[in-house]
Amino acid sequence: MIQETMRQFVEEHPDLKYSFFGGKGGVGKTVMAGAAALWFARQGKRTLLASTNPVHSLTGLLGQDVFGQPTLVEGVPNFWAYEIDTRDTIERSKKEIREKIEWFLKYADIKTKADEFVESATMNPAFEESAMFENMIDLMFEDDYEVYVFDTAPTANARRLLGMSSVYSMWVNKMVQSREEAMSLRELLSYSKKKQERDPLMEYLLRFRDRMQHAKELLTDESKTAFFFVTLPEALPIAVIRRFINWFNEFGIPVGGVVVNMLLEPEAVGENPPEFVRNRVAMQAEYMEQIWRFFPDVRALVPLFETEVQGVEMLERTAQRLFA
Amino acid sequence: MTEKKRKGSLWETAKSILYGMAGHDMARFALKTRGSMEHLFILITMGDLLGVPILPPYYSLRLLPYVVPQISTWKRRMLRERDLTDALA
Amino acid sequence: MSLARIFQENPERRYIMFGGKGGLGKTTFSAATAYWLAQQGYRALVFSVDPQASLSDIFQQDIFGKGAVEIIPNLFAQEIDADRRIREYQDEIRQKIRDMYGLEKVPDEIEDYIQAAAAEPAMEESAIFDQVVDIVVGGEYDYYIYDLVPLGHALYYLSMASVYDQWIQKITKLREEMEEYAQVAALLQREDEMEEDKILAELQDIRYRISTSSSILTDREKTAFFFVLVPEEMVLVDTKKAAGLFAKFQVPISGYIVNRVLPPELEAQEIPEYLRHRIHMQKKYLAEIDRLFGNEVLARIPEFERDITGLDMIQRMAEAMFGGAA
Repeated sequence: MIQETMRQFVEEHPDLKYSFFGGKGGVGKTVMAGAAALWFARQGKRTLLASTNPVHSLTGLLGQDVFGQPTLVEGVPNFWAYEIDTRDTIERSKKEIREKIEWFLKYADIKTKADEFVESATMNPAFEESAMFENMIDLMFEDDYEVYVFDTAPTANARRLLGMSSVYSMWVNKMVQSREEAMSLRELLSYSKKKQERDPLMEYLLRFRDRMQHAKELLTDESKTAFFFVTLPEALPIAVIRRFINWFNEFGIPVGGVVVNMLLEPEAVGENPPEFVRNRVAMQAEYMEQIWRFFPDVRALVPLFETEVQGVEMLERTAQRLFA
Repeated sequence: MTEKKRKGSLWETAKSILYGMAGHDMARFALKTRGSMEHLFILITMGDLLGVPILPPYYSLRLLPYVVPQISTWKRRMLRERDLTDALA
Repeated sequence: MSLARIFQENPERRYIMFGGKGGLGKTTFSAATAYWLAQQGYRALVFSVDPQASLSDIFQQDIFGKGAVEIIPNLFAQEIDADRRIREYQDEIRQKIRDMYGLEKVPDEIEDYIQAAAAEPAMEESAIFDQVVDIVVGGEYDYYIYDLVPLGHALYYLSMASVYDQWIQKITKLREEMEEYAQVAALLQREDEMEEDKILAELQDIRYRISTSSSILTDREKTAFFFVLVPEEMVLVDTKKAAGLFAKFQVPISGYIVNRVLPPELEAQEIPEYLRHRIHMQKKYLAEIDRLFGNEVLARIPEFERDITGLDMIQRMAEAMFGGAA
């Protein structure tokens, strides 16, 4: 009943470079991202599996410390994994904001000491999230890998992460506009012939806007980017990704399709299962009907394995089913 | 706190800050300091108006109605005053 | 110690939270707890701060953005619609500006600001935070059950309260100093009484709201925080990490609840291989959980034969958590 499999989708999108895996918590996003990355690496592509989740789980998945820098996964050529460390980025942007405020206070000739305000300004709680996003697009811009697979944060977080590029653009445009007004007035009023002083704030905003525009172009490019949604045959995860897919369509971010995970298969269940198992199989069948109805783009059905998926060997088995 | 006491303590504050100044200068100094703080206050709460993103704006919006009259003069001052003084120099 | 006893012995703990990684059953536990409390005759509100909330799906009733909806007598559920909250808030601000200055229309410059502010990345969280303050300060319910977002965000939410609190404190201090200077000037120039500083009043109100909300979250007397986990290795690793983080924010942890435990009696039956494997794996991690958290484990909740949606299943979940309907 699958119209186009994951494998076919990937073959038809030879330029696919950025894959994201999203869905409700606990559906197996990290596992699917890991399996997909492994598969790309096995195809001979230089692949980076990166976690943008504030609570990372790649180290747990691979049984190998991958925090803080891209680390070659043991025994698999071409496969790097990386849990992004936001601490440096946060420090960097704190410093930037501090400089901006101090520069501005000087410029506006405010003599009052502003130290403690600078301090509280740099404690903005949106910092961590913005830092994660910044790190993600940095990776994308650096272009060191042929394929990037992102283990995204739980849905709400991911939605915001990607939506942010649109929101930021609007916000920054407004700010650039008010800086431009100020600049042109300065030019008009400037009697002196000396060269215009640099406006560091303006430069920062323009750089920022360009970054965001570039990020948006990449994230909305259907040939390069695909967002896959993982669900279980259960009510809550299905409801979440339905909402999620609507959101992504609104933002114009290309949806790659749906992966169903932890399916109980007849072979695994056996001929004469106990009532408990029969009931769960019946429940799953009921929700599978919903899935076929709601999602025309199911790409793969991945079974519930007899153990937790952990380590390269289990990822290999998952990848075989994901790209069946 | 009674009004009288409050004024008393303010006088103490005033005396300690403004010790040695003439009454007229003291008043001018106090107003000038207050004016400067007003600018700082608006910068901290409404900074993104000028392209200085400082703080989550949710609660800033609550303060916005009270500073509406100051906003345009403030914006002008923040952005232009130095150029004017440069120009006149 | 059992979950029911925790509630009975700590009747003053009226703010209930379930924390843990995504997808372990926090929302389900929140809903079932509210259900159980309502059955006991308490007015209970379960509310979601997650923009991708699932309460509607669990209660099989669309409650998104509809305020507190009474599901059955005494059981109320609420899903916060942050976008709507922001729109309403913007309108309030516009109205206030028009009223204060007798304007037909908000000046363009100000309108631009109101719109740009709403697009700020932190706006949604702030709006939800503020709505939560409204809910808990309202005091209309005996119990408040927070359906928290996954771990990272729960921490984010907790830290936000303290950041806002500090921010407001500083601005209030600046404003107070400003007022003093103004009064000094007024006195020196022998002016009449000054107008009261409305901004200061507004700041003090904001501060009251924030500190009320943040003090609840970290109040050992009033708050019960339960950690949810399942017997799997990766979850266990994350839970250990997370428990440390929560301790840093001084959130008092009342205990741990283990979810999705495969019924042990299955082992005696003829069962498929995958299930035998899973039971075996769970046994190992259950032992590990007992070793790590010992008597802080308040309940082991079995894996049900289907997912928890609808009141019948919620009732079964409540029984599993708190014991049979006495």
